[in-house]
Amino acid sequence: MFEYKRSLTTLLLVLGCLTVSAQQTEPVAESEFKEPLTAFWINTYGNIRLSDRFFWVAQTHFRFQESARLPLAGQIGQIYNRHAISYLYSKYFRVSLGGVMRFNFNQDEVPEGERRTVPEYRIWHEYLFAQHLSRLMLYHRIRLEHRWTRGFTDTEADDWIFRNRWRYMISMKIPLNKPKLSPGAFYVGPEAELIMQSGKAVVDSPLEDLRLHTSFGYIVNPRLTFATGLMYSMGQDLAKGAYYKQKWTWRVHMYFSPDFRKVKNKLPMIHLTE
Amino acid sequence: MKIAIRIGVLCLLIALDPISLAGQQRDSSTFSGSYTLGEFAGAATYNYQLRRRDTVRQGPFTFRGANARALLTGTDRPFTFTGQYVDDGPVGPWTFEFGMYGLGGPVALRDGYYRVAVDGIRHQATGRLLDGEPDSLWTQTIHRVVASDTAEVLLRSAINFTAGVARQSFRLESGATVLLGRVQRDGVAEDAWTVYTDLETAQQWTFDDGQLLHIVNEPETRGDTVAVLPLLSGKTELVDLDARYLDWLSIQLALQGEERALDGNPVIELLTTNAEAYARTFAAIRALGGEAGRPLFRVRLPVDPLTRREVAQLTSIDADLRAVDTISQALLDNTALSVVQNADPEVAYLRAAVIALRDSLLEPVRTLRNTYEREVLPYVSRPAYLGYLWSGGVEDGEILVTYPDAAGRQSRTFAGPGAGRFAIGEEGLPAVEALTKYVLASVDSIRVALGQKSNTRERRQAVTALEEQLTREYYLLDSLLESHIGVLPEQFGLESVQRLVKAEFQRYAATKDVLEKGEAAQQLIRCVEDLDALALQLIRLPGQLEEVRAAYTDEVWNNFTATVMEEVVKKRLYRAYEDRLIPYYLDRVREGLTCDTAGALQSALESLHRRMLALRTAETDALESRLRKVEKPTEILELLTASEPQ
Repeated sequence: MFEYKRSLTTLLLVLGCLTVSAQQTEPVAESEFKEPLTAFWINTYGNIRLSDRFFWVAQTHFRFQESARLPLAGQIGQIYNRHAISYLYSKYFRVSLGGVMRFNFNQDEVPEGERRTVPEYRIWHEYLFAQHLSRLMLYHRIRLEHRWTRGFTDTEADDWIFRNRWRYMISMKIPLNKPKLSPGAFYVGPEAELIMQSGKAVVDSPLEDLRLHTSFGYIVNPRLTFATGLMYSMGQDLAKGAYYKQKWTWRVHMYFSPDFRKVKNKLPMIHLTE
Repeated sequence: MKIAIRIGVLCLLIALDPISLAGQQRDSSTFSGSYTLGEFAGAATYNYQLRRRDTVRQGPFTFRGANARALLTGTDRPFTFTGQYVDDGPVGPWTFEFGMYGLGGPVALRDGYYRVAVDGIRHQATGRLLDGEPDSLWTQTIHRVVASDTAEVLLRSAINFTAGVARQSFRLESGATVLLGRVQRDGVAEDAWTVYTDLETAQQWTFDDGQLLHIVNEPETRGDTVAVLPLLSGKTELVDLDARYLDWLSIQLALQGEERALDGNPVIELLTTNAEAYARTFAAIRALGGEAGRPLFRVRLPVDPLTRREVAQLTSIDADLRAVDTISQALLDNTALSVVQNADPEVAYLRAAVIALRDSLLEPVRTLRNTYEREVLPYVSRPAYLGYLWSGGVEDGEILVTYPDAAGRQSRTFAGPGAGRFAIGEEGLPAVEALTKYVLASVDSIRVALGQKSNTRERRQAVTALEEQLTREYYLLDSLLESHIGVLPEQFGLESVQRLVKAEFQRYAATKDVLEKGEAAQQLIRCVEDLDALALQLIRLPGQLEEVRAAYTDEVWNNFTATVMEEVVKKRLYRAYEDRLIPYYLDRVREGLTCDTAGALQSALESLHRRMLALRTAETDALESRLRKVEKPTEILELLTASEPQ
């Protein structure tokens, strides 16, 4: 618990400094919120058990967004592969380290001279704290990402840039029809995530995204869960900090957690530092 | 959009690929150790593969069993089965060896080992199996063994099979006697079956499409013919050539006045020994997972199915016979009466009457009942058979009883209530039914008469002692029930146990006759003991339910929720136990509990608990998939016990 509090304090300090630095940039007369876009995400989350304490995190997301003709899933936006090795320190804390390879798709009619897709690379590490509060679970997630992105043209302006992302998410899972999260339980999962960014290219737009998401899920068994929910998000335009993008996203999630170890290795169940 | 979804599915398939690879892994291993199949227990060596979680035998297989302790204390039945499996089915050449040995000759101790010789019989069977059924030529050889050496040959049998059915010609041999015969494609007896003794034709059985027409003794010299059946024109039925058929044959010949025609008949002996040899072999093949179970040879019989009325009459005769046996046994076993009859000639007379009624008057009724129970009656002409059993056609209810008294032996006529003449020849089965009822009424009247005579002081003392024991047992049960009723939920049925025990006590209290009271007290003591065991079992049941639940619940870490989740494993099996079997037994406790069912319910609940705990660690994939198709508790229980190692 001590470690968890210390990590949280560090994060808040970092976020505070970033906010202060943002406030020191040239003031603009008035910020502007753009019309919200609509999007549809299908997200699969794999946690493949490798040993008592190690997991292979394998996530694949298909992110669609509106086109001129169709809302929500008019065109593909990104295909996103996130992998990591996760170490389960205790029931209350785990840490993960891995990479992301994402494909960003150019939107609408691709202008001449622009690419259809460009890749994006990240190294990421995550620190997840879980708290048991009566019948519900409360989670604090700190995720740090080191990110290389580029634009769709071959011009100098669209060349590779490097940024850091500083993410903090607080979320809950509240069982509805069972006393605790268990097979057969429906649950509600409210989440709020603040994503800040830094880097040479980040001049007046440290607030990359603020995501408010609530999902409604069903636990089929300890190895399979489905959920769906609606997310509102908003964040500053990288080039012009005064502009705020907004988005409404319908998200569908599948969580799978297979354990291919031989039966004898699964038993006895380790309850991890109770 | 469609393209995007296809890309998504492709990515997902790539991501899930390790799952399919892991699912295809198969282990091939060798088992060597203790092994049990049905009634056979011993040690086996075989190869197997694990598919999903089922053990699939594959390749050479050897299974042997011998029990030295059984040999030393009486008889051992060792066995050796050798052959091979493909996909868990026995196929190809197989060899079966069975023994039945007792100690024979002297025992010697050499180099620290005891050496004993055995006497008995050795039975070897060899042949090929196809799809688990006998196929091609099968041979059976039975030797008598004396001092561990094979002596004479009791049977040599060679029969051709196709897909489990006997075909073409066969040969059965014992000593100097050889039986050659043939069957049609479907195993139906055909043409002449000839017995040779020392190469001379000794007997010939002639079949026509399964129907035995006649038996000719020494056809080459005497030509003594026994006609069995004329060519049948009415309704016929194909039946197995088994012990039942041979029963029928002896009745049929007896009806024709040829009662002794089958005495020492070599065909009967050969067929019987051969049928026993195949029964043993087929039982082993079935235990190994094969299908063998079809009859060897089949024959045709005239059939006149029993009418509903006849079945009702025969059922009533059977019930009355049982009642007569119960009452007469109680009267004859009663030691107090044995003492009294020395001093009281009336008691001696009545007991002798019981014996006479039971043995002489009912003798033919018993024969009739046995013929019915062995399912031979539909193939026999009833009027002719009754005429054979009661040759005069009439039975007199009055019988002459001879009994001992102080002066020597006396004779008196006994006539029970409603004594008369029973015209069986004219009236048939109804008259037999009336005769049986008359005997029952007579024996019951004797019971009442003897009961009044035995209300002696000794009897009363014996009953008082039993009642004291009964009171103690009842007090224990009652205090057990009182301390748990209201605590244990009503569904567990302790109230039913209490209701039953009270009702049984009231019934007992209403019994006045001392003779009956003694018997009733003993029955009630047994009942109270059974109910006590059942009540204890019911009190233990919540704990056992929890034990099974805990055994069938795994704690699984869910990395997404960061919680440990309880998950029921072998769900279908556990649900069958919790939702079907336990309610089924508790229903039986709450409704219709009797003294006769209490003991069985207690042991059923106890063994179900043990079975469930054993199944938790056993391979149950096949059992669970079979459970999917059954709903009825009785069928579920059959599946659970069928998979139980014997």
